[in-house]
Amino acid sequence: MKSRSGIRTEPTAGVPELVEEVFRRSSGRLVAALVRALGPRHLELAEESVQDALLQALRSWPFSGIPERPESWLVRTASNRAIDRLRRRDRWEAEVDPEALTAAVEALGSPGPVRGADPGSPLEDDELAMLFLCCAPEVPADGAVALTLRTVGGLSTREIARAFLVPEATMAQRIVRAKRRFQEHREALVLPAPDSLPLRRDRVLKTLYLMFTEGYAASGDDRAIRAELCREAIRLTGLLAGHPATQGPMVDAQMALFLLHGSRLGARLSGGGIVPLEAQDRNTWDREMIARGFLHLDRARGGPVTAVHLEAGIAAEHAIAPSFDETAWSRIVAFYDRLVEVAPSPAVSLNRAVAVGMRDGAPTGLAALEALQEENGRGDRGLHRPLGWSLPAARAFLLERAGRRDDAGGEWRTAATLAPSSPVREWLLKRARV
Amino acid sequence: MARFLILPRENPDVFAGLSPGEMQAIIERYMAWSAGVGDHLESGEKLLDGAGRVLRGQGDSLSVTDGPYAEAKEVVGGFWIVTADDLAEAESLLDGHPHLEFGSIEIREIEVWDQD
Repeated sequence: MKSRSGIRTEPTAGVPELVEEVFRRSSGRLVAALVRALGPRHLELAEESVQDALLQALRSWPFSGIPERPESWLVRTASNRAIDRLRRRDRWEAEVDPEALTAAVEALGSPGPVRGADPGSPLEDDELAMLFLCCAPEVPADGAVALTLRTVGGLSTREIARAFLVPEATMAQRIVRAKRRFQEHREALVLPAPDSLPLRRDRVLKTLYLMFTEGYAASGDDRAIRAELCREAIRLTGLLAGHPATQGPMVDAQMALFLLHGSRLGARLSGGGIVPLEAQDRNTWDREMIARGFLHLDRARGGPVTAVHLEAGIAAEHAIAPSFDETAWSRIVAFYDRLVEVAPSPAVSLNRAVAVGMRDGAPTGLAALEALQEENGRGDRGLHRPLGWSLPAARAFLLERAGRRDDAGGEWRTAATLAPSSPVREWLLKRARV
Repeated sequence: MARFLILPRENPDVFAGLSPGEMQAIIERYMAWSAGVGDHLESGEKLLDGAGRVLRGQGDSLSVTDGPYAEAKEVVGGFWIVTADDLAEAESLLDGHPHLEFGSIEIREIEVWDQD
């Protein structure tokens, strides 16, 4: 809002500010800490208590100012609210030992490490354990992503529904079903035992991969929420990478992939639409994320080369290329050749065909696309389901490079009819007009 | 310079259902207003939600009811004291206040008695 007298409404230097996203992050950490104290059965109580605390802050801080240690304030308030709510319930004494519970919850109120930055600090372990709980084997895959975003990520059901383009009620149900699954099976919030940890960790990695992909792709219309999904996937993968019990080359490979893709997110989403790789302003790529990505890529050695490793390798090639045309397309094709062996899919073959077109010339790329369709023997319709708009878009891209503008225009328009969201549809139509 | 009591009012449910991120954004806007008015903002206090009493005299006896939350649709969550040259300036300081998106703001000048 603008004021008539021209009073500024941006924060000024010297005024205590809230660390970016501290509410969202605190919400996740506090829920985890309360679930540790109360047990997974009381997840709702934990969530309500944390929501109470945040609301209390919203009502109080505009008058009293931001406290010196906002997170400590929130911890104390959430603990008190949890105890209040417990006291008001019938028969809570029969379910739990009230004194032990009060002691555990009150212990949360004592000042702890700010932002849970220290690896192995109690707050951070809780969050990691909560992450594993949300991704427990009994929780279905789409439920795991939604539940993680809700409880650990601190997003509201409405925000998550927007990101995945489903109605809010549908998303709410998905989350309720997911919670019910682990509430039936899990008594306490603990990290999995060492022998089951690798498998459980793989499941977590897959869930975070889904989360990042959803944020990076253009399914949802809300650009801010999409970026949030990517940031959260990076942050949570970072938790895994930083903890001695959960770290490893596979985690580093995924970290590298996310950071390298993430470094382009600003350029990709600039101007409200989707800017494809060939048109992105490389000066706006986040250099710090690229540097961290390469650090993790280095640490990703020493284990089997997985699909994620290969995808990270491709992302790295793009990151170091000064321009789209000066990219090391031969090396990228080589990565795709290995991906076709390790994790074949229509999308991999499609991307490989485009890379071949860049390495050997557009006609060769187009031939590879034709060969791809013939191989499947089902014609266009057969490939459309897994690939959707990206197949005609790839054809259009290569046709343009081959100088066949009119044919390209037709393919761009075909792609637009298959697009899942308006940002994608709009940039496809824009390409058709250029 | 005159002093003004600023009373923001809102429906108690107005903030229900907000996500943590949305709540933080709102707090930051309130903080930005406070920072923006600088020395004009003398003080601010939060009033406890849900507590409170309304007392009325009924002849010889006292009537006490829980209030005002039980009765009112809009409640005062807290108050600020703001200094300004006059009501017009006070009004301009409050123009654009983020609270206006959620409820109303009452401005009352605090009377000063000249001791002369």
